[in-house]
Amino acid sequence: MSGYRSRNLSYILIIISLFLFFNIVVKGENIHIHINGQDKSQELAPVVQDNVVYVKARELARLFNAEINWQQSIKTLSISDGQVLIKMMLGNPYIQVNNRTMRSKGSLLLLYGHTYLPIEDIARCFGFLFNREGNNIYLSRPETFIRDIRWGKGGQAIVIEMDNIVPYRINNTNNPARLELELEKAALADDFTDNISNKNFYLAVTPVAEEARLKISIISQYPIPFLGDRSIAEDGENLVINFLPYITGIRWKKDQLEITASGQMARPEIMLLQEPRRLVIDIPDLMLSDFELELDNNPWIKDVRVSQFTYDPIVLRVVLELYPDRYLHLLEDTVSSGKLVFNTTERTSLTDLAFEGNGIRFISDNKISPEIFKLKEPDRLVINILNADRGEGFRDRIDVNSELLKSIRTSRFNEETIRIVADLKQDIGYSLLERQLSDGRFMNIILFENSFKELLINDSELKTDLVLSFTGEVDYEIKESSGTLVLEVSGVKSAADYRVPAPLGVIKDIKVKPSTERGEGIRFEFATGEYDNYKVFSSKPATSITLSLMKGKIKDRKISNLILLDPGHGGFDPGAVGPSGLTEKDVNLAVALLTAEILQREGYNVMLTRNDDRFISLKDRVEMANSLEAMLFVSIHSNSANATYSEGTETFIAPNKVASSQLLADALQQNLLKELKRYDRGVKKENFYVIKYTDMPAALVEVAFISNPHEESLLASNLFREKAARAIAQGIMEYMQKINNGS
Amino acid sequence: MNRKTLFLILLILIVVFSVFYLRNRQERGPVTDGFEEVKLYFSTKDAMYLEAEKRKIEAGKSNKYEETINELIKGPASKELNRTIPEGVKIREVRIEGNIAYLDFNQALVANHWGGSTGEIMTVYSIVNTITQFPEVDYVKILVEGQEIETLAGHLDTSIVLEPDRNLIKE
Repeated sequence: MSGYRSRNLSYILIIISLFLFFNIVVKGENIHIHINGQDKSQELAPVVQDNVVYVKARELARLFNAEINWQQSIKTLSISDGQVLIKMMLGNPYIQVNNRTMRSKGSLLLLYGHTYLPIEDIARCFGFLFNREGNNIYLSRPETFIRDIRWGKGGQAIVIEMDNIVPYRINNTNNPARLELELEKAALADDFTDNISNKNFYLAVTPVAEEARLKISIISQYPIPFLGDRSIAEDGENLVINFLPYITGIRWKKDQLEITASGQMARPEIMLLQEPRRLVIDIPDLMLSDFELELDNNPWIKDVRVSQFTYDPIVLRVVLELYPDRYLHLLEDTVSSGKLVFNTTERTSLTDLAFEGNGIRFISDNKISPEIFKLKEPDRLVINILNADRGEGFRDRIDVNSELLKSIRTSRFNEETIRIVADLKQDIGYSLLERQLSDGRFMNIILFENSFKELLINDSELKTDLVLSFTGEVDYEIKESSGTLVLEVSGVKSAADYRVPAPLGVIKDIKVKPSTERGEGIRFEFATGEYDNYKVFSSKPATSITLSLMKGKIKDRKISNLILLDPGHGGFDPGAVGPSGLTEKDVNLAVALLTAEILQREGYNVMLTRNDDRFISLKDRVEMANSLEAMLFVSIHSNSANATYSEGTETFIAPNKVASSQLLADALQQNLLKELKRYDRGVKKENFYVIKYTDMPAALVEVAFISNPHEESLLASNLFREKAARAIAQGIMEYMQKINNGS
Repeated sequence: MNRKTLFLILLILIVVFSVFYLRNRQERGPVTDGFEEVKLYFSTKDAMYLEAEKRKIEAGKSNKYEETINELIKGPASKELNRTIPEGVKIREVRIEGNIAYLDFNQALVANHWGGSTGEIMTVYSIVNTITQFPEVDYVKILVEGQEIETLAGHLDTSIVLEPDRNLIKE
């Protein structure tokens, strides 16, 4: 009985192992191996075992120009190209590469009477980059070599020195003690030196499995103070990873507390907590380190604690334990100077609150630095005074009912803070003044008034914009007279020292004077060149006034017989991208600029919708063409499709505009075919935005396919671009002649 | 008894394995009555034309339009045709109002598109021509993340409702 069972079991086992066997070695018919861009799958006859791709050893050696030698006695294969010598034993996963040994994912295989090698490890040993995308494997040479990784800026940065910068990214490792950077198509140079590793840091460089990327990992015992992508900068051909600054000292200096760091600090968040009374200072993007602590005998701070509060985001927390009634406030203007300075504040008593003239006044025992901000709906001004008490004549509420204010309210906001709220009738500017009285106390005045903040001028093809901003709402009036546009702004103090920008576009000169008409105000006089009309894009009253001087429809400015060329895409929109990375926007611009040059030389008036690498929406392109009343519009593009073998030249017109556009398109297509000799895809009608909504005859040319590797290489060459430009210019000129001859 | 049972087990195993083996080799399951045949328009290899490929979808499903678009997203079975919808594209919603089909795709339709006038025409009209095969749909409006888009890849005006382009179809 057991005999039967075992025999039957072995049948089953045989059948199962047959299935398993079929799963082990799979003919890699679908695997395509490209070496330097050429498909070598035929020769290499790839097979797959355990997800490792193997190829015929002899063919691989031939493609690598390497000598191959099989030693039957020790079942060892050796391959050498003169520089690299690799030895591999049958069934042994260890490969000897020159004088070192590495473990491979596969091993030497004997199949159908041929030796097979695991292609990824062997290719990498011979200095190839290996990239697997599904069933396609690409072997290529590195585009950059890393020569050195070292410390920079006195240990505050890591510098990666390479031949030229390739695309890179920082990996998010979720481990603050590990920094990972990946570089595309990079390899280590032969003379690479690791100048990073020391007793605290360890450098590891590994290729990313199945991809042509190199991973640089820096591992430390301690959190590495870097900020992900924000830390990385390019410096010539080097990549620099900047570390965050760390705290270097907390010192008591002449009634001030100073916190210093190894670099610039950001504005901290400060809270006052009780029991024990303590000031909590959270400084973003600052690292903990050994720091100098000098508090001497000061009457303000009992104790200091410093900790790395969080790592994501990185925040350093300084806790200052204070003596009763003591307070420290940050001097705001020291933040940008690279250190944080805190002034001492004693508990102060506030007295004699009043509204006089156009300001709120009150007296304080000591110098204060209140926090002042505005709130909306309804408009309010809030004044927070820290470490203060309300004394004599500091009432809960004063009803003002002036032109500016309804009332003033005061309250104890929290244990430390007295809050004054001014209920405003409108959004208005303010300034804080302070004056020491003869008895040593301080008079504080919050003066309500608007002031002029700034004037900006923007000039574009279509218009010149003036943008004026104020600290609060202002009323204004605009008067236009020949050659001058006058803007009278009322309710603004009329100090003299405004900085005005240089005139631009339609604006030829700017004068700022006190208002001549009503009360306090400013008069802006803009001397103007010619413009069509002006538009105001602001309500009344407003905190910012935008004036647009439209230059579109001026007869003199309009260029007769204007040819408008439209290089497709641009800015963040690259258009199509070729297999080797050429972007459509660059090709389009280059061809358009060359076309414009030829036409200008021939005496035509030419403009481009963009002269540089910027994004312009389709709508704006159309608007430009229509407002300039161009005579014809030619959009220049490079084609793409989801198939590398699509090729050829085609020209499009819009179905709603046929007659002249067809004539133009035919002339363009014929000339492009004659010059470029690409496949003729014809003149087609399509609902393309820019050719459909423009008012003049319009065509869109697709010079060639950037998605086709051959045509991409043509589009990358200057000669081809010049030919394309010549053809487009010739097509336009032929069309112009036909129109002028009345045909 | 035991011998017979074991042979039976063996027989069952062989049958089960063969069935699995054959099924894996087969492209598709058998056609039954619960299916409806639709045309999916894919790009020809030279991207000059759209060519129909017939495919079965489950009949009587509540949203045959969505089913059809999902089949279009999968790409062609024929090696002679190319896919027209980029990687990662998903249909978010199909809404029929009157004779207009509003098709709302995710951002991948724009973000992952390969660009080019031809590429854009193939994508847009493979969608429009496929959906207008249903006699109740005359026009298609393409939306991305619920919003109207000026253009998909910088050429075609997709702010309007689109009608099918029969000139692109290779019969």
